Amino acid sequence: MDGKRHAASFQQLEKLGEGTYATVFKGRNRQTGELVALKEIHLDSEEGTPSTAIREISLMKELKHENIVALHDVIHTENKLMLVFEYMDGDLKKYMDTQGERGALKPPVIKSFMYQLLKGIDFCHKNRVLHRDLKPQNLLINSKGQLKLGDFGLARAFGIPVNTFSNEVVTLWYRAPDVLLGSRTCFLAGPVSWHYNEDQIIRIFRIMGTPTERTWPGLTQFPEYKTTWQMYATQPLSSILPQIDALGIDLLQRMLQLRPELRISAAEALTHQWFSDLMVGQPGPKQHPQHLQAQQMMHPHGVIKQTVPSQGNYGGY
Amino acid sequence: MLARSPVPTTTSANASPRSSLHSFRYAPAPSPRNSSPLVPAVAKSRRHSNSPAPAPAPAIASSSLAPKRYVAVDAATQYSPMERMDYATGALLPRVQQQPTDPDPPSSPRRRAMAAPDERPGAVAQTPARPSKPVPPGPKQRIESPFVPASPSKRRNSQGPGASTSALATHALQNPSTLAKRAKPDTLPPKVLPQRYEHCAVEDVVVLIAHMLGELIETNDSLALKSGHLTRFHSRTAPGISVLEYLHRLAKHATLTPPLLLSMVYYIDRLCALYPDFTINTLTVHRFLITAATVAAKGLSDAFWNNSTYARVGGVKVAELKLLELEFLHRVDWKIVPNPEVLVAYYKGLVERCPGYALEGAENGDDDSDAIDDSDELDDDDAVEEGQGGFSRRGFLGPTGTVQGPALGGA
Repeated sequence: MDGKRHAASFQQLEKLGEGTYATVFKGRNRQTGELVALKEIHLDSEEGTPSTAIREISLMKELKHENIVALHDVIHTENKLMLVFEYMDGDLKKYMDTQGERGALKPPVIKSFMYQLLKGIDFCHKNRVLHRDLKPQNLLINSKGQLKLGDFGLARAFGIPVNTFSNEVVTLWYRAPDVLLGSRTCFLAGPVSWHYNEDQIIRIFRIMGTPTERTWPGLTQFPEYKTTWQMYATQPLSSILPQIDALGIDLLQRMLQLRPELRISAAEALTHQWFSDLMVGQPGPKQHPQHLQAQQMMHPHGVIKQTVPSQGNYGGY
Repeated sequence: MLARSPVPTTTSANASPRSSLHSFRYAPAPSPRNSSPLVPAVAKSRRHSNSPAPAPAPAIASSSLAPKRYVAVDAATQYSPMERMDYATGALLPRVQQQPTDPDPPSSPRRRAMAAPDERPGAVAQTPARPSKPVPPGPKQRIESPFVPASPSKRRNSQGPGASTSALATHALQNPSTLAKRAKPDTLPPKVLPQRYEHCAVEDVVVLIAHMLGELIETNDSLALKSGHLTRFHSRTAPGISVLEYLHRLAKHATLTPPLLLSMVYYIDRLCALYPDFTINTLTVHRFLITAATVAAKGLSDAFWNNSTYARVGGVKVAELKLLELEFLHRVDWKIVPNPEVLVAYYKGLVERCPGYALEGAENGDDDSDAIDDSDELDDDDAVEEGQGGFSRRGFLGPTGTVQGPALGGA
């Protein structure tokens, strides 16, 4: 370890989260007083450096953006790896639980978060990185109302034609329909619990309508295509989300397209009219609704019972 | 420069940091003799380019590529603690004589088979203490006709066993002109490889890379000694398995795909750029390869093995692999994701410089060599000249230095 910083440069504070391969602590830089999140990864011989750590570090080192959690430093000893992240107060899941009304946030907050989320995603995609595990638990929020993408442990660079298990990595609830249907850039057989997969597909169809070969040419060629699917009619999103205005529904509609080629990209979504009242180009804390800044966030970590954990609860790091 | 992979890179941002361009690295006390089995192995298989198949290395042949799993740990690849070897290169050599036998499966026949017969005692004595005087020829000449022997007369000793004069080397020395642009081993038409590396057979990529490594190693070995520092990647003595065979083993048993293999080539440049003490040579290449393979698979692919498997396949202890992996990641600043364009460039470069191979649809296209000329921006001529001294030993090895230009420059 010949880095400038050592583990001892940080005062370890309370535990923020724990999982099978890492533990996250709140920490303080002894010199600057700056708060950080310290993700400690145990290194055992059998596994060496966990693949998730390699991905996370290698990708986050290249991804410096205001809507992506900053990785300040990597400190290693023989048996431990310590990732030093910028500190965030909580994650979106907890934020919705504590600040929302039965989970529902106020429309201006939704719009601000949505915009920041898209900015982060767009930056990833521009840098040829797929996060592959986007979900509320991995979207970190701070008291200034900033939203940042975290936990890149399942992320992957695209553009290099290596083997992918795309339909196995992303947390089920947040998998795209084409992925659920077995689409892969590079097909490679692997065991998947198709039962849950199937269940998730049906949930999507209930709202977006069951596709057919007519509405989705090529559909019947997907590995997971079933002739036994129940046919659901498309539900109008506005009836499910009455609090969202017509422009917002339009954007959502474009983002939820079953067919990937019809789905709007992050870059395109950012230019959608729904965001026109957000003072585009001036994202960040400034235009956040007052109440976001006023409220101190509850600390989300440690006691959360995760419904859909992918690797463990790292508090989004 | 010579420490790096002799393959042109694009101007892509993450190719090879320019900062490193001027560093010229020496291998720490390798013994040239060891490189000899490598080159012939490559040269051979290249000739029958259709089947680099199972065991292209002539001497080693059938030994280790049998379907059964490779479990032996080659004593020669045991990591030697740095502290015990961290002294002037000369001091390393006596040790070499003692080490080759380690606690190992009591002389398994396989291990025997893999060890080069001449590998131990005697040869050590031949190791030159320093590279001899640099040979004059300037870099320009080298660039223009890469394969023309820089100075055959300056060939230095070495080459213990008969293997020393590899088929290619001999050929090159006798007919330098045929190699002027692109080496063509004989009249056989080149094996045509697909434009896209992901469609290329793994075996072919292995041969391409092994060929490049063979040249690189030979050059670096002969340059050795000057300011060599031992690294974690050093073996005490050259592992008794050729680069080609080793790479073949890794590709097969660690299921490396062309993108992963090419990423490993990219890592040569990256590691050398950021870690001046490191150079690819006879003593480091094996550990480098198994480490690079492990990192590439775990970091880039969704399909990978655990470290125990990589360790077993690579012939290192799993605990050592853990340290190698960490050292590697630290040295490359954890940035292990190559730009897709860079891999394409590496692939083209490898094919271009590997005799007996051609890219699909690349009709005699030697345009790339022109590009190489153009992109030569070496500021580090001194180093280059010294390098010349090095590869003049074998006469034909100019290209190793040659391609350094593009790897560095980038128009």
